[in-house]
Amino acid sequence: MARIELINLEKVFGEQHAVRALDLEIADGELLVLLGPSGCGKSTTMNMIAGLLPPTSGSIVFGDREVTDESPYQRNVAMVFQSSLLYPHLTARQNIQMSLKRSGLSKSDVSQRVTEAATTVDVAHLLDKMPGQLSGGERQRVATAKAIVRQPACFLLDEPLAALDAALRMTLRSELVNLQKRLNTTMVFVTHDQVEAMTMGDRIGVMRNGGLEQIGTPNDIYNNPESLFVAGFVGSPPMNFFAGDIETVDGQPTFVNAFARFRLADAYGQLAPRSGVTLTVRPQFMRIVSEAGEGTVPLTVYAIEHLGNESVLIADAPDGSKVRAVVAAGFEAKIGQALHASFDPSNAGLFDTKTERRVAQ
Amino acid sequence: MSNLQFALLVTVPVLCFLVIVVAYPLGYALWVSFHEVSFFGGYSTEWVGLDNYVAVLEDGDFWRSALLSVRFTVESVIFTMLIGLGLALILRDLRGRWVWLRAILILPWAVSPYGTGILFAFLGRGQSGIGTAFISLFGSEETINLIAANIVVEYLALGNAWNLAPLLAFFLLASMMTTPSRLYDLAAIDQINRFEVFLHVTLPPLRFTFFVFTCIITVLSLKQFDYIFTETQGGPGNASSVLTYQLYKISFVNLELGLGAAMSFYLLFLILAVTLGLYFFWGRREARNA
Repeated sequence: MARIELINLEKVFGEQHAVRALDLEIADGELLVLLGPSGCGKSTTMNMIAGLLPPTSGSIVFGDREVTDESPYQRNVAMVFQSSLLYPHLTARQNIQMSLKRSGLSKSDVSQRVTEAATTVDVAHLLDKMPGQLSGGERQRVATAKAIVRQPACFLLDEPLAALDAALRMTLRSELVNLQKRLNTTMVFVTHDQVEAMTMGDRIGVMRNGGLEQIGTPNDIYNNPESLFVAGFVGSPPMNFFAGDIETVDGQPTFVNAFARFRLADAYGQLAPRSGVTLTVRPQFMRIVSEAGEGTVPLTVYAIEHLGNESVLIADAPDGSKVRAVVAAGFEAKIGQALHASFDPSNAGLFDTKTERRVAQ
Repeated sequence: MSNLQFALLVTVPVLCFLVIVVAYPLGYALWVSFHEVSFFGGYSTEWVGLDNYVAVLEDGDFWRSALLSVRFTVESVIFTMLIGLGLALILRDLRGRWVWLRAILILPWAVSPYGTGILFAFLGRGQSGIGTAFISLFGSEETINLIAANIVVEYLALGNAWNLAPLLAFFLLASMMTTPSRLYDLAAIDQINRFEVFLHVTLPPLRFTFFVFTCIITVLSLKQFDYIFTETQGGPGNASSVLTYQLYKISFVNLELGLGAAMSFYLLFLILAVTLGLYFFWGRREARNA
């Protein structure tokens, strides 16, 4: 069990700054998800926490102990790799035992620990199979058993579910969270899948270009994105963006572009006119109306995706950008049909297009 | 034209060719092995039944050269495996401007066995050879003759391995490239030692390649002739007179064709037995794991 602290952590590969000035604190027993697109530095960060990669500068602290120069084993971390990597020529049992190779435990203790770990994740009946004979989900569970058998200070999971099919991913997602809560062990989970991040994390750290873009609870990240990047990365279907300027109309700050104008929410009451802003609206808050009017956007239907309980309308705005709206399941529209959409201004976010940061209210 | 007709059209010529170049000489050799062939007073043959086969088994030189063949083969396999693995490990870790060495290291394989024999004959000589040159680096005045009766088979096996190892190295390298690098990270997390990493991470994907090449090199070494012919002519004395060389002497120097033919069938049996044995005791297991 350990609290993990990363202090001003940097990693440079030749010309490339993989991780820059990263400060991060992970509470004891917390499940932190590092979320970001490939190349954002999340895996590099995890490798440094694990001790597989020495940081260029900065330090890593487990509990009260600085571990920057310690080996992965001394740090007592357990890691589950992408596609649930196991030694391919060893049985599940031997794979799990490998985690205890240096533990100095007696044979009977090792065997008991292996059985316990395997039972915890429900693979006790698979112990004598080779990894090649296991299904993707079974392999993932064996890899998890291999991780928990050491009773590590923290679990590090590097996209362990990425190679699995959607249904299995959903099952294993909840299994992993349940297990983490039962064992109450700190876990860092790296993924590029925002659904995984939202559903699993106590907190989510969104990474971009080697830095932490925003960190917070899933609700925080979803409802109050600090930047356009976070706004666009988190949420499904993805956020709608409208580029335009702020003008004062009838004494009220109003968002204006070539095809629409929206009066801003009262919270923005004192906002001065400015150019180059982006208005963001979640598809869930878009309402489809048939008549143009105050605060509507003209749209041309592009596609409808039926999800069963609801549908997603995808339409082109006059400037060619795609706009998505969540509509009722029975909603019908023809491709190419003209529609209009509006939304409640209090549900819109406002960002500076250039700095990509949220515009203060 | 039906499918069958087309199939016959394209395969029959090949089958005919194979019959002519393989089956006919093999059949003729079998026929000769049951006869005594004499050239004095005109070419004549006489049916002698199994006499040639019995005579081979009673010939002490046959057993001696068979043992030499086995020794040469076993050593060739071991040397080739070690050199091939060493080369592959070096080639794998080459970085940046040294990568071109990967292409260079295939060259020994491009040398014919005949040429390899001549090369190693020069290198092995007492006065001007590599052994003498090496110890003179340390100030010694002695001559080391590598083509000496007690070590000539080892020296031959080494040259043979020099010739064959690059090919193995390339196949091993290709297999090594398929090992996910994350497996080495997994080993680091488990903190297993270097030997265990080699045993559990590096080696497993190479085992099938090792099996295949053990078979190939066993067969190539057992039937190796031109390399030994150009390097030592079976000598000094008959210290490197392996089965193939003995066969050559009996058949084409002593012109005892019947005896030579019978002996060649023993060589064939040996090759078949060894490869079947390798498959039975090793190959089946690898095929299961693969």
